[in-house]
Amino acid sequence: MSISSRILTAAVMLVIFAGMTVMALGFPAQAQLMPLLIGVPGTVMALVQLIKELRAPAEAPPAAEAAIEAREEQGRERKMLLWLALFLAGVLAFGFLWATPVLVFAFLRFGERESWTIAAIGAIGTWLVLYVVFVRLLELFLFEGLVPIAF
Amino acid sequence: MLGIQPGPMIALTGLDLVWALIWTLCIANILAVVMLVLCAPAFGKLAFVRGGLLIPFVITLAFLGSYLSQTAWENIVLLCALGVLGYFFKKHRWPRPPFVIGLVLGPIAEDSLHKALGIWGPTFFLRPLSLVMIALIIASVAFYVWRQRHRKQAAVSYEY
Repeated sequence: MSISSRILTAAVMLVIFAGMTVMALGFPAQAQLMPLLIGVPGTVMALVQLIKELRAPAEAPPAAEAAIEAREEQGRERKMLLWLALFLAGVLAFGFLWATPVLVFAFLRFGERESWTIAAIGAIGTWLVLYVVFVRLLELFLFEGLVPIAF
Repeated sequence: MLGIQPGPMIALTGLDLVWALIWTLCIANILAVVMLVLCAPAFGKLAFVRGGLLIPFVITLAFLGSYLSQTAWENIVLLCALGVLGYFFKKHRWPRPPFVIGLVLGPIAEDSLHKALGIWGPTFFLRPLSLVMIALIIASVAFYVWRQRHRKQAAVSYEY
């Protein structure tokens, strides 16, 4: 996981820099100057980094205690990425006002194993802050979600 | 502030306004101190809240901030993508400050580059200060490569 994610990070950076360079080539001459000035050296350095990561010798397997710690860290990492993806999907689908309190409740109750009361207080508090402060007092337009917009 | 001309003349023509501003700042600072001293114990308790309890609220506020900056939901997707990338940067010890500095100074640098090219033309890159900056950039990359190699050699000699 550790080595592959290191290679993946370098590969993602290479894709970003190479992508911006290719996109910049389609701009007018003056507009493409700055993106190319950043993109070309960035692509070269990201490529060098990727090659370096690919050629790096495999890490020795960690000791028993370190292996347990690494597995726990991986578990926490996956859990947080999953929650982040759930928050993203929820907000995009149903908007801030309805998705956020539900997700806060779910995170506190099932992610953090808090009591039903604390999870409910967190969810109601979130909805109140969003509605009273952002919608009523500041009169801001909060994203309603793609699902309500579609129907 | 409509109709008020800022500058040295304001000390002669609008002295009452200058004093009003000074007193406003004084009173605002005193009020802020009183309020913060009263609220400090409550704010202090926030430091003892478990990190896990704060996560959903921090995510919500981060999503709100990114959405409200341009009222575009695409910003939330971008926030998540860059957030995950930033996490892996931290994990694999990629330097993050250059990206943040680039994000802040990028538009200013682009604007200044076009202005400089407009004034000097392509020979701008051959001006003494430009050459010094280019040399510094190359030197910093070369120093990084040298340091990496030096460390590797030191590690190999330590093993033997």
